[in-house]
Amino acid sequence: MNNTFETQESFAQRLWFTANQNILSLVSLALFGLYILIGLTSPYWIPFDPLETNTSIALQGPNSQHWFGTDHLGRDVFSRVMIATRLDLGIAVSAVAISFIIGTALGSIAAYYGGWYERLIGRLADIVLAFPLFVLAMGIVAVLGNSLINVIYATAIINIPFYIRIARAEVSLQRDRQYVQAALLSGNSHLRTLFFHILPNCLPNLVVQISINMGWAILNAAGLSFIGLGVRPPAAEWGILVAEGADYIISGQWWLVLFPGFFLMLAVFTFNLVGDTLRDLVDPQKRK
Amino acid sequence: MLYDKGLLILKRVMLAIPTFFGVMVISFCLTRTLPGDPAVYFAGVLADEASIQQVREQLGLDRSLPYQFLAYCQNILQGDFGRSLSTGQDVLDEIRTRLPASLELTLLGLFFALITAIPLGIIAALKPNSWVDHVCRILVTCGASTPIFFSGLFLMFVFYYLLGWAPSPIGRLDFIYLEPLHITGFYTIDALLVGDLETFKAAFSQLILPSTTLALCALAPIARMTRSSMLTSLESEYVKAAKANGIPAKKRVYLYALQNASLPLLTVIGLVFGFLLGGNVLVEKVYSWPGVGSFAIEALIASDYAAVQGFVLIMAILFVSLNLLIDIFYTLLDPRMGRNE
Repeated sequence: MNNTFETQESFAQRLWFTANQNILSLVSLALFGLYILIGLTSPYWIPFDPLETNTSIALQGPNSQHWFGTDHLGRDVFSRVMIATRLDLGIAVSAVAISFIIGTALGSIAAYYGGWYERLIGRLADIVLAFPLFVLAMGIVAVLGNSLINVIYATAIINIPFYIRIARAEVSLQRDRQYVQAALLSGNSHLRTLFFHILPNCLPNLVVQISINMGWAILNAAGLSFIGLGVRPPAAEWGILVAEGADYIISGQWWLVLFPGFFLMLAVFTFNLVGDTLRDLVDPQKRK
Repeated sequence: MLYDKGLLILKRVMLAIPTFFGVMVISFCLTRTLPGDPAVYFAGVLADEASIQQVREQLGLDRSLPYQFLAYCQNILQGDFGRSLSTGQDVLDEIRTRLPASLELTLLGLFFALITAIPLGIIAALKPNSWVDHVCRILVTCGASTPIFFSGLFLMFVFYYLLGWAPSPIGRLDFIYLEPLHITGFYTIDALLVGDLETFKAAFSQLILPSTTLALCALAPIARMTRSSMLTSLESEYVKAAKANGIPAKKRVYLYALQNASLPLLTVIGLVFGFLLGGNVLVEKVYSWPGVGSFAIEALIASDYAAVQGFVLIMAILFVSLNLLIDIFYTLLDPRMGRNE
């Protein structure tokens, strides 16, 4: 019977089809690839050492040698912005991975077992969302200690409720399907059925959330380091680069803020659009 | 009818109690997970074993956790949020004096966002796929991905450095003006109440850039929500029926459709307020605004935990109360609520 589905298009084909529907989707996928490439390879091709200071060329505007200009210590802004891609994406990926794993596990347990589990976990999500999230992240970093890993934890914690909600909604839709009964009848334990039979069927919508969440996590982490939490100078990170440049904006040295800020903005923009593209792919009915 | 609504509101208020309780539990946990032993921390660097023990008893740290939690709740209810370690001042007092500055900024930002986003959303919904709709879509996408500190610095560069229209970003009022008499704590309103137009102008011009920055970030969700809920209500049966009955387009759109579309907007405003409370911190840092946000940043840098926790708790209480208020409004405004009960 499976033979009839032999010609079903692959995931790549469907992605290509969806992307072609909309020029913005295509652009966003290209940018997405570019960011990943920069993140992975930047240490090998940046023109200058991002930490090397040389005060004789401090605060130069963009020129043919230093494309994005130099900062107050004469460091090359282009190299610093490029090398920061790795750190920023790394923070976002780890934070989102943590919140995805914990949030999905909690949400699916809540929906599958119901009762007290559901009430308790649902309450927990509501309470976290009762805080203004950026403010809560500040509080968490303050308590855990001002370090990079704690910025990742804080970003992860404030994102967990969103995964709880989506996983809960998705699992409760799947819970009473016949394949679940079949899986249970053939001797799978409840946990095994939940995580190996039900959850794979909920993945598409969770993946959309991951992409949108990535942009949000980058913004959050950059905001925290902008106010001096987490990443410490002289490390290059987009939020810190903007913060360092902020002192010079009122004297007209715009390049210190513009380039890292724009790169940050474009990254968030890309992840949001990729999220929209994936949503179109997962749920064709919502397509415009 | 009215009785039903009263019951609904009562239910909603009761529902807020566990949320408040949860917020207290979380902020209590934040206090108890201070790095290291809080007693050692509060006793200071020079303390010996005996005085640490004394501080521990003083803080009630030798008692059981539930007892400590009750004591914590009692302190909060009495308005005792602890003492800031760096300034030695009462945290609540400090926040109370700084809160008007932040609220003035946040509310004006929200106001700017509402008066631009709602008309934009309405026009976009009335003419889908027109240029206004495209502008609306671009604004929504950009607004959702622009870091608020970046747009703040950008506005500062353009309007202060390049054009010279905005006053220097050094806080709520230029040095040459005197603070207006303290009535509400909002400089603009206080100046108006006293009838001091010049101070009003000065305070307002300081406010424009930071609140526009906040408005840019709040604009996106409000415009998107206005557009989608207007689209839904324009396609609804009652608008069609109104059209069939020959009711003029203006009345149909602005009275029938908009009134119904405004309810989901209320909920979004509650959400946006949460964003703004967080965004406020960043904007205050960019514009050296002397509000609660910059207080929290200073406290964070100085590892002044009591102050940071007081800030987080007060912001959460503010946010929960506002959402409660909005839900109550919602119940009062929506005639469908309470009818089926």
